[in-house]
Parts: sequence; C-alpha cells; structure tokens
Amino acid sequence: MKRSFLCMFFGLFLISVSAASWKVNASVNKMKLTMHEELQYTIKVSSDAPIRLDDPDPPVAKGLIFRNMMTRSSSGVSLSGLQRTAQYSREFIYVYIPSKPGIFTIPVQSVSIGSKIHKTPAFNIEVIDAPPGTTAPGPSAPPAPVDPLRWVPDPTEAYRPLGEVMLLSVPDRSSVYLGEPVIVSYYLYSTQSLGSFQLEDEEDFSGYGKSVYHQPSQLDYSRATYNGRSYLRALIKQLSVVPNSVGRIQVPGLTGSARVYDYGYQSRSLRSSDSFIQVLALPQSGAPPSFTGAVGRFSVTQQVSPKTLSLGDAVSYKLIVQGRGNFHQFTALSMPENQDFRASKPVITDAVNGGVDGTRTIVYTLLPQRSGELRLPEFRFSWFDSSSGVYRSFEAPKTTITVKPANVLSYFSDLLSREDPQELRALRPLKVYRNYHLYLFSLWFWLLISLILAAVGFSAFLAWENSLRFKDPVRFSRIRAERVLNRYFKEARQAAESLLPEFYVLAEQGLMAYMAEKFKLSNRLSTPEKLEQLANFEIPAEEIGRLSEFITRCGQARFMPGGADASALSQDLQTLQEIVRAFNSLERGAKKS
Amino acid sequence: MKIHIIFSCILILACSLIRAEVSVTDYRKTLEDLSKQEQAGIKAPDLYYNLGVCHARLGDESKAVLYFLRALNLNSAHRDARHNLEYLISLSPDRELYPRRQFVGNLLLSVYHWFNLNRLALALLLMLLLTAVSTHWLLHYPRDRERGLPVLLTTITLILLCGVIIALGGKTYRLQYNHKAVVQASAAPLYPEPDASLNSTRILHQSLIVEIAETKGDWCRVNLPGGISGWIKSRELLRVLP
Repeated sequence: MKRSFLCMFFGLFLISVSAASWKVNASVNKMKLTMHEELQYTIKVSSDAPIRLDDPDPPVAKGLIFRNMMTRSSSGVSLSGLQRTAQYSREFIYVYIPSKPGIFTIPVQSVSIGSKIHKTPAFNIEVIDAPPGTTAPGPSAPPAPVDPLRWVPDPTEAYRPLGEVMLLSVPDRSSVYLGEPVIVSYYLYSTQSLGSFQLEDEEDFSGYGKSVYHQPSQLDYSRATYNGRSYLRALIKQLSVVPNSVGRIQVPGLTGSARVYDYGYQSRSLRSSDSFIQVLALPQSGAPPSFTGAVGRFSVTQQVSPKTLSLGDAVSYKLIVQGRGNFHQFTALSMPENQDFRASKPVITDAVNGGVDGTRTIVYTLLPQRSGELRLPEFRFSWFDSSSGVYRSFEAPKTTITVKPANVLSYFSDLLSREDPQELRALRPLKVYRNYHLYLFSLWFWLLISLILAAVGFSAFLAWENSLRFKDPVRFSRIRAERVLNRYFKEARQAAESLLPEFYVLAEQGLMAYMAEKFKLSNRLSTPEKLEQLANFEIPAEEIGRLSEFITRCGQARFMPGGADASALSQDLQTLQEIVRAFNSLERGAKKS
Repeated sequence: MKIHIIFSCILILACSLIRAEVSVTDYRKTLEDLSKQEQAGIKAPDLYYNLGVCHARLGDESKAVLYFLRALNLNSAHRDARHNLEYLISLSPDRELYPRRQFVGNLLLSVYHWFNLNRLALALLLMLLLTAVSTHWLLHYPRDRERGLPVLLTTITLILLCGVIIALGGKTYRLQYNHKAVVQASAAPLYPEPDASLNSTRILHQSLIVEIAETKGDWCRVNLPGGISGWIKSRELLRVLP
C-alpha cells in the first residue's frame, strides 16, 4: 500500500517537473563591430516555474576576449479568470572585446536543465578596424593595456540596468481581495551613497484609497541585489493601499530628486517604477449578516473581568481583534438587548500601525441589573479571511458571571465614578501672581505648636504631681515643703541682702510653713504649740532648741523696738541657712532609717 | 441675493479665521507675560496652571503637562490643574500605561489630593489640639472612674495625628524632591541599559509622565506609570523640579 502511494507521489512529482516548460535562447547585440566596441552575448532562460540554475560557462571564441558577466532576473504573475499564471526569466550576459579584426564564431552552447540539454545557435561576428579619429570607450585615455576584469558600461546599450540610481515600488502582495490593504514599499536603489533624496510628488491612480504606513526619517542603506547586481538600498516610504475596485490597479507612483556625487554633486530626477495589483472580488455567496466589510487575517478573543462582583459594580467586557487587514471596517457593534445588563457605548482603543496591522480593543462596560448567575450577551463578528478565501465569524463563548447582592460601597460607585475629562479648562483671569504661601514655613504655625506642646507638658506635670499625692504621700509632702521653704527662703535672703526687717517675718513664716508641711502640723496651732509638737518626732532636741531660739529672735526683731538690727541680719541669715540645712539632712537621715 | 449670501459666508469665514488667529496670538502673548513672571522667581500654582493652559492651547503638550504637574506639586488640591492634566493624559498615546484604580483607591486618592500642604498644616494643628485636650482629659480623669472613653479618644486622635504628620512629611518631601519628569521627545526610545547601541524595549511618546529613579551621566533610569523601568536620554525629559 505504502509503495503504491510512494509511486503515485513520485509520478505526480515527475508530471509537475515535466509540466514546467523551459525555453533557452541566445542573442548578440550586434553582428558587426569595430575594434573599439564591445560585444554582448546573452543567454536567456525562461520558464513558468522558478529558475534555479548555475551560471553557464562563458563561451570561448577566437579573436574575442571575455571581459565580464552579468545576470538579470525577472518574474511576473497574472490572473486570467481564476487561473494564476507565472512567468520567470533569467538572462546571462557575457561581455567581450575584440582583440583583432576578422570574422569570429561564437560556438553552440549547451545549457542543461534537469535532465534536458538545450542548445543555443552559433553566431559569426565580424570585427573591423575602427574608423580614424574614434577613441576607445571609458575614461582611461590610453587604450592599452586592457584589463579584462574592468567593465565599463556603455550607456547606450540595452543591457544596462535601470540606472545607477533608481526608485522601485514593491507591493507586498500582487493579488488581493477587494478592501484588503496592501503595503507598497518604495526603495531607492543606488550604486553609491547619495547626498540626499527629496520626495517631490505622489502620482495617484484610480481604484484605491491610501494612507502612509511608514515614513523613515533618514536614508538607511543596506546591501541588496537586483537583477544580479549589488546595490545600496534605502527605504523611502511605505504606503498602505486599500483597493476599492475590482481588477488590475496601478499603485501610486513617487517622484523625487536625488543628489548624486559624480565628480561633484548633481541632482537627478527619479520616478518610481510602475507596479500593479490584481484585485479580486469578494465571494457573493456565504456572506454572514454580521459581515461589515472587514477583510484580512484576524483573530478575535474576549476578556471578561471580574466574573464575580456585587450588584452596582461594573463588568468590563473586552473584544480584542488582532491581525492584519482593514481594521477601520471592524466597527463596534451595539450590545444586544438584554434585561439583565445595562451597557455603555463601546470604547475603541487602537494600537494599529497605519490602520493595517496591530490590535483593536473594543470595551463595553456592563452594569448588572439584578443579582444572581447572569449570562453575558453574545456577540457575533464576521469578516472575510483573505488567507483562506472564506467568510469567518466569531461567536462569543457563553460566559456566566456571579452577581452578589449590593454592598455599601456599591451604592456610592455611581456618585464617585469619574469619567475622563472632555475638554481643557480655561485660563484663570489673574494679572498679578504672588508666591504660594505655605503655613508650614510660618512663625505663627510653629509658635502655636510650641504652645500646645508646652500646655501638654504642663498638664502632664500637674497630673504626675497629683498622682504622687496618692502613690507616695511622704515624698509629695517633702516636695511641697521644700517648695514652700525655697520660696520663703529666697524672699528672706533677698530681704536680708537688702537689710530689710521683713526678713524676720518671711523667715518665721517660711520656717513654720515648712515644718507644718513636712510634719503635717495643724495651721491652727500657735508657734510655741508647733514647737512642742515637733518634740514628738525623732528630731534632736538641740535642733529644736536652735529653731526655738531663732523663732524667738524673729519675734524680738519684729515686735521689740530696735530689735531689728541691720548689722545682725547677715548673722541671722546664716543661722537660718544652718537650720534649713540641718532639717534637710535630718529629713534625709530619717528617710534612710 | 446670491451675492449677498456669498459675501456673508466669506465674511463669516474670514471672521472665524481672524478669531482663531487672534486667539493663538493672545495665547502667545499671555505665555510671554507669564514666562516673564516665572523668570522673576514667582512660584504660584495659578501661574503654573495658566502657563500649562497656554502651552496646551499652542500645541506643546509636554510642557503643558509639566506645568500642570508643577502647579499640583505646590498645591495638590488645584482642581483645574488636575482636570486638565487628566484631560491631556486621556489624549496621550501612552494612556494605557497609567493604572486604572478601583472605587476605594480613587476615593482615597481624592482625599489625599484635597489635603494640600496648607490644609494638612491646619489639620496638624487641629489634631494636635484635639490630642492635647484628650490627653489632658485622660491625665486628669478621676482615678476611681473607668477610663475607657478618654483612652479611646486619645488613641484615635493620636492615630489621626500620626497620619497627618506622615502625609505632611510626604508632601513636604515631594515639594522639595519631586522626581517626576515628562517626556518631551515625540518618540523617545527606552533602553534596557544606558547604551544606545542596544535595541530599545519600547518607544515613549510625548507628554508621558515618568519617575526618575537614577541618573548616570547623560542617562536617566525611569519608572513608567505601569511599573516598567528602563533607561532614557536625559535630554528627552523635562523635570518637574529643574
């Protein structure tokens, strides 16, 4: 079974190979030439299949010196009815120069293609002496010695390429369907770098619409071979051409001028080569009702987010169209009527290069109208697939989302959902501007902060003292007593230094207030009674006696005439300091015990 | 009759053209006046806002975005500047790069923007005062009574005070060290490394807002709004704080 299949395939292969028709011709540019002219001998191979052939060896002819060889290829595709016909050809051009006058023969050449050998005819070439006064071609004045590898092209000859600088238009496809975009690239071919190239005009023809697909900002050269010759090639422009009529249409032509260096810069006008596209009609039958005119190679996907939400929240439904074709015909359809959803107008976002290839995203925002399991509306998009030649449709897969009952935030979503601004707001009518004043760098701000912090500190201190009364009453009393003593002692010292008799009043009051605070003596007691009470505490009798003496001295100074002697004030102040020191040390000692 | 109609049409057309031209001229003149005030060292949100509007009307979107950002850097509660900035972003070819926030995010951001530096300073004073009062109440609260309420109030005011201090610190830092910049080139390539011979990872368009993370020679490493990072030539950026 396998063997029979292999035989069948081999047979089909042989048929296909043998079906290709080959033609081999040979020609010369002239049968008679002078000693100063060149001879071109051309072997042309043509076929309806692509030609893969090694270069034939140059013919050897007596009296002719082989100089150089060139190749040239061309191809063309035509459509007749529904049948596609291709034509390929390749030329091998051999350049000779005569070495002497006479009649010479270029012999028959054999060109083997596949298993067949094709023969070319022989040519008799007559070489005559050059008329007097003529010179050899080329810039080199002395004709000899001849370099066989140096080829000087003759501008009058037919074999010469289109030129050293030329502009070619190259459509990326030769046959398209109606409405399908074609990218036409315009290349500048040159044998040397150009000073500049200036586009001047675009010549338009009927049967298409066009837009710029790509416009390079500078000439970016690369090496390319055209008709067997190496060139520097730079892309000038790319146009997106959308045919709007069936048949053969001519692509737009470009004209421009190039600055070529040829012993100094010269401007040279160029016009792009003529190129044609065969435009096929869309099939009449089989067009779906949802077909809107989109033609190309597309893929459509959908995205739904989120699939679980609360009532009041929105669902984002995206249709993503990717590929190549006339995207502008891929219009956004209205959301099908559905009781469960309220739909926004579709928003189209394009990331499409030249309107031809990329991604178009169509976004619908859906607001569920009830809670539960809801099925999304189903879309249907159709387009004509140019790669397969049939209409295709996208049907959104059945998608169900879960809508929970509304939460609190959902009620506010409408209130705070902001749409994109639609316009620019106007100028503010101000004539004079002042520096923006920041409170942070103002004095009053930091003063207020300091004040509040100081108030907090003071409040905390009061609170601490208040808590001390309950936690450690002894310490609290001591602190209070010291505070009282310090206050009176300070005033008394000032009075003594000023030699004022008020010293004794302040000293007595301060000492008794100190004793009352420290030993919790009642203020209703008289001074002698307080001194008697002190005896109940662990205070040395000597200290009590000294205190009693000082109090008596204070009384004398206050009430006896001449008791307040200014000269004794300093001594009394010293006594007061000793008493206070003694009671302080006593307190510390008592505390230790 | 026909002549009258044609004449009226021509007159209306001429008037509209003159008006458009005058409008453009007005914006140019206003821009010159405002630029002089800016060069005099005045830093006012309204000045920046009007500069942004003039640039936007004259078609320089990157500078318009830059001035709206400067206005917002001084006063984040400048509603018109934010509105116009959002409008220009919605027109940007890179608008898809900007993150889309959910409801709560938008709400919090709006609140944060409403509290500009001066409002935050007043809020700080208010919260400090409330904290002081509640602390005083707590400290001097009768010892024999339950302290739950003053403790709660003090805690709340302290938390709010900390929040205000952090926000104020953040905004003050942004005021002094704002690393935002705007792409001014119509198409600026983003490179994975500071090397122009490498292939660019993407093309940034005019008026895209980026955050400068690092500077190395003539190059800046920038973070795009979507989180993408890359290197770009410094000369293709306009900094919010020059």
